[in-house]
Amino acid sequence: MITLNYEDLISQFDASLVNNLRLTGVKNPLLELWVPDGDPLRSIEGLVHSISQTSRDEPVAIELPLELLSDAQQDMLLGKFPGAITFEMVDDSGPCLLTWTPGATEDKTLNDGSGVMPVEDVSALLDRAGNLKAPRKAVRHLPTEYRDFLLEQGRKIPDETVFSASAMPSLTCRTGSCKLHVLLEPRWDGAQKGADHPIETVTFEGAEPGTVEAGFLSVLAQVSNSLTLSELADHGTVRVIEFLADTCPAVRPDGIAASLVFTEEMRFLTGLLRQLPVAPDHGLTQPGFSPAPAEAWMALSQEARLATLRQHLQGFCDSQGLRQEDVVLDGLVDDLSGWPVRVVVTCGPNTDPRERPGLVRHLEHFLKGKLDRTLIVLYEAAKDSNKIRRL
Amino acid sequence: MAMTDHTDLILDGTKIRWHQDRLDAWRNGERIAPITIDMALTRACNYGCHFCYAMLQENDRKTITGPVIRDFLDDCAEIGVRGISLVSDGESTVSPVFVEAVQHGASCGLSMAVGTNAFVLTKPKLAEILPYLTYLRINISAGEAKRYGEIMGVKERYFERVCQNIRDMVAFKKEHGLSVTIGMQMVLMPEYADQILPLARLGKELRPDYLVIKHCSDNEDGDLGVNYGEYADLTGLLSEAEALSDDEYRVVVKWSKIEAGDKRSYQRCYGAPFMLQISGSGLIAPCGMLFNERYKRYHIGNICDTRFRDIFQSDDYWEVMRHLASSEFNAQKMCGTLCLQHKVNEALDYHVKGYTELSIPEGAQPPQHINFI
Repeated sequence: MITLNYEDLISQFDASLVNNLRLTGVKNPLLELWVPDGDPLRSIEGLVHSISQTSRDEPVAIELPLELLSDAQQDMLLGKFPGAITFEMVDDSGPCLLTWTPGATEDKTLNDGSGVMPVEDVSALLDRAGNLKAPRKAVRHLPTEYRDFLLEQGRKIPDETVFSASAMPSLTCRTGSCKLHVLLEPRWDGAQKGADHPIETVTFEGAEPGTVEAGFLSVLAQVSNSLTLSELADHGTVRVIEFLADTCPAVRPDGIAASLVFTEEMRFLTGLLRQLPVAPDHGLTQPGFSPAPAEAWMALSQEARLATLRQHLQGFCDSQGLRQEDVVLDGLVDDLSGWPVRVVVTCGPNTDPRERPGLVRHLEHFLKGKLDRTLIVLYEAAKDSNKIRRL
Repeated sequence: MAMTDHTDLILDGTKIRWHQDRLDAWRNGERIAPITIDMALTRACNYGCHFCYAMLQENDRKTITGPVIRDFLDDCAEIGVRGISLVSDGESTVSPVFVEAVQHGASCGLSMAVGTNAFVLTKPKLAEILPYLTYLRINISAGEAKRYGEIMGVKERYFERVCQNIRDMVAFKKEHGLSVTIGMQMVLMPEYADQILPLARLGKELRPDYLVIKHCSDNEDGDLGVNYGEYADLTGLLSEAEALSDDEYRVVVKWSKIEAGDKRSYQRCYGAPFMLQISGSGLIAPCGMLFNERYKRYHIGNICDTRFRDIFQSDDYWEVMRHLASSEFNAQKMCGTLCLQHKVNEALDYHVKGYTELSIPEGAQPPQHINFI
């Protein structure tokens, strides 16, 4: 006779769920099919079922807490495993002993002649499944201020039309009377290079001064510096939106700023940029736009960069009312381009674990503003130390 | 209901265009609820698969209890989530709240789905969940017992148990006329090529609705060591496997992802607000590839600590979503390969760039599993 204690099994299983993330479960071949369940009837049924599927020739006794199953629930189980299980009281205060005997009968949870559950049982399940509530509608928040602001912004921006120097390679897009001139860096040697070619200047003409169109084109000209042709084509409109959203919070929608690309005003800009000779899937064949760190950052030695980071980390902690040991610099490593921009930190034990993600985000904003826009902040990686892992 | 009674089953694409109301709200700059949430009920698993991405997703360990999952599902229904797939970074069937989660989610009006190794899904448990599911997908990356044990990190005899469980679920579905779609999925590493045809033939014998063969994802640093260049050599075998399809059993290769290899055409991630992922620890991050502690700046909250409806409305949630969609983020450099949101991202990126309208083609019928985009 094998004897198992139900509460011990539950404890073992729960511990395994947290401590043994792979090959989880109670280390007993009889129980490899068993998963405890919050519903005690379902849980015990699964336990007996697992034993019946895996045991060959030895009876198994399971000690159950006295109050775990009602008499009615015990009767239900006896019906599902007729002749195979018995319940008996060890004494008045428990435990209740459930004993399974091999070979006594078939598992009624498995066989009704058709190889599946009895149809009437399933019908009840289907009734429950079919009587489902319709999903409730989401709460919506509509932005109201950004359209007025854009109109106002358009009126205030003066006409900054600058005509292109004809000696330089340029592309021109046109919508109605508006023309957008994209001047490429002189080293460009033809249209074949296309997508990753750097832009020298973006200018425009033909937009009515004081209109929304003139305002957007003016912003586009400002944000296009140092972009590539593909980046202008792909994200020129979104960069205009980001500029406006950063400049004036009233423009910023509740959700994603980039979604404003679908406003009528922005469609005008997208329509212009779509005329640039950049293939939709150029990203599959050419490196995407990825600005390098500033020369000043790259010119520093690794030691100097780390020293600079430590100095600014101290400044960050001071500004946040944190102690120096609350955010610790672990290192500075290269990204996939080989640029030293991945700042690795950990938080000290006195920081609230729930606050750490926000802290790391704030730190990244801080360092981008103080040192270089390409810096990203990573936390110390958590390793999966399971011995069956290959890492 | 036989699969032939359904409209199209999209396995290599996105269904986001079928949610025009959510797209409209997104275009209006609203805080939209995810259409689909991909999550696990635990980070634990009774298997030890060779290819498992979860080994890269270690984060603080917390337990999703019955009250936590009930509150979460209630919140999902309240804010407008439409489908929950129990997949992600753990084997949800080994969670004590698994059956309750499936049934309660369905009772809230959510479409529910499960991805599983199916080892513990014997008949009694199948009967409790199949009527509530939109689809059940079995992860099985070999068609022979010995290789199954090697690839999935378990005893060889587990293979026969899983095969029997698949036979039982197929019989159960047929017997009771259920609409649930039963699928098998092979995560294909190039070194598993010898199992492509045995598995396709096994599926033909077991009779699920489909077998899908997909690439294996890797993180941005390539820690799993997937050699994407070797997939091209498997084209012939994969085509041969597809040819084993018949009227009621489809073999589908996710060609778009296999052919793309580790390349992305886009840099910004617009898909996360539509398709969120939650770790089996309760951690909410926009993407499973960001579950590891390393990516703490993307961690938004934990449903074990805070109600999901509050996390969803929080500034932290939207700060992270905005960051992913901004020029500060570059999926080509900062993400692992071909993530769950990849097809959604691709579609939205083309839409934002003005190449596509993402409208519903005239006369087109809604596809199956519409709430799993």
